[in-house]
Amino acid sequence: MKAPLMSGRDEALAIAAAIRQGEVSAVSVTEQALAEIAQHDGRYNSFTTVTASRALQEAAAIDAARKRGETLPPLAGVPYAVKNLFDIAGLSTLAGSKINQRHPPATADAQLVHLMQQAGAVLLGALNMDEYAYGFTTENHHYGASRNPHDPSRSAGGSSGGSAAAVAAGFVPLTLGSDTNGSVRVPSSMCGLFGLKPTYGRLSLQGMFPFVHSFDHAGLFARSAADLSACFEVLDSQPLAPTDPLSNRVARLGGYFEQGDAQAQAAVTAVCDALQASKTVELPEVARARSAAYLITASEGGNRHLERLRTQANEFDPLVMPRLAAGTIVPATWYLQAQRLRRWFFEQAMQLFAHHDILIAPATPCCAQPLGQEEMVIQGQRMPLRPNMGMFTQPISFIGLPVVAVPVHVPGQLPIAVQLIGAPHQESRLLAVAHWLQQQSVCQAPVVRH
Amino acid sequence: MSDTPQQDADTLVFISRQLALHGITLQPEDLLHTARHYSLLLSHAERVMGWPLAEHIEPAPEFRPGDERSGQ
Repeated sequence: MKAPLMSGRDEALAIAAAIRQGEVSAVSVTEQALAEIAQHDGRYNSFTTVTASRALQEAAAIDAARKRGETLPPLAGVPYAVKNLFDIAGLSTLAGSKINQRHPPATADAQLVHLMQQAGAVLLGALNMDEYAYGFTTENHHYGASRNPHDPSRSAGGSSGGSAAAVAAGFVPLTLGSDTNGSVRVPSSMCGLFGLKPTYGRLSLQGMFPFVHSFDHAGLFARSAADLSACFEVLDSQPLAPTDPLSNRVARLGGYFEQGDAQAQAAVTAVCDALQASKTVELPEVARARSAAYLITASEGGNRHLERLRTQANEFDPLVMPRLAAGTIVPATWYLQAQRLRRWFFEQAMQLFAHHDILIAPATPCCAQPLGQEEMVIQGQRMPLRPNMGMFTQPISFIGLPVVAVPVHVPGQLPIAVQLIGAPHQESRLLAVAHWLQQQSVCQAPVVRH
Repeated sequence: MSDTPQQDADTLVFISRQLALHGITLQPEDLLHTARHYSLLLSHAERVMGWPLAEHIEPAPEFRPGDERSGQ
């Protein structure tokens, strides 16, 4: 019987099982995945660097371990890739910039890359992003835009756009990204994927190029909730607590979160109906919270890049530099009031979690929009597109709550995602519900290559 | 296109001086873009500064394992 041909099109757990059982070798999976990237990624521009040599070495080590009869780790032979703000030993960490090309190569992997390697996963490369993670569209002036596999004329979302496009196109089943204001959840929505932004502080940021200390989170993408859970267990270095997905008190977030277009609202309704969530609750002052997130982002981001703005302003992406420069002159009073409002808003959210386990909201106000588009019209209101793609994600990362983005696909439409929002450290609850929604075919994330 | 107002000369001078204080000198076109983004930040600041917060509320919630107790 001919050995099955597996690649990044397959799910991570299926690949790991097939390798463990000797049905396929890690090297053949890696070679196939690399060949598909070489053949098709010109269309999507998800990778900025392909680490073929390292990948083949890691895969060969997995095959050798199996031959020796060793017990293989949970993600043995699973191809994956990381947003190019993660340190990869031997490469300069670009963080989407031209400036960082002159940085010396990283001397060690980022902590999360190290954990993935320990779990047997095979690193295929680094992925495109908005410069210094400051954007929601991955329209990168230096490396080109990442294109959406559902429609290459449209954005893959950002700032982890390459991470999302690579999974949606089936180059790899798993990628790592980062989420400061929505940079995992927005591209999950645009590309129709499962995405996890864990609780603030839960996953290590060691070896990741920073953006906004107050909000930076590591995050991950997959085409199945089971893969997302398996990867999170590796990154969190502990198993998820078993939970019953149907025992949660679920409510829909109303008010501010009802500003999405008809498709965004229909997606939320589909998820709420499946979970029999009939109650709508409101978080107070969400628009004000988002404004506070804006100020903190601008101020911390601008100050992060102060020296580069002084000496290399003309080498930034023109979409990014003016926002960082404006952030450097945010008065301390604004910044501190925004941080105090963060504390207040967190306490308001905790009052909701006293009576509910999961809150449901759209991830984005609409589906993926054409690259280069400046504005969008939502419920008759014209607004700038680039900042407002994060209008529903920003207020949630502002207070560090864990979120699983779950994709809703309706035939004939582009995908869109819904946020399952939990209290701090309730990732297992959210992932169990995401898995159940996928089992019920409410949510799915197929490979697409248009 | 932008939904933010045109920058007047006084605003540009103010932004330019503030940036210079931080050692940043920009080309005129970049200064215009920066001023436009600063105006956007100003509108966000109006929303944030207009919200009365009790004096005891201190910045920055901390999220450590166990914090979820407050929500359970």
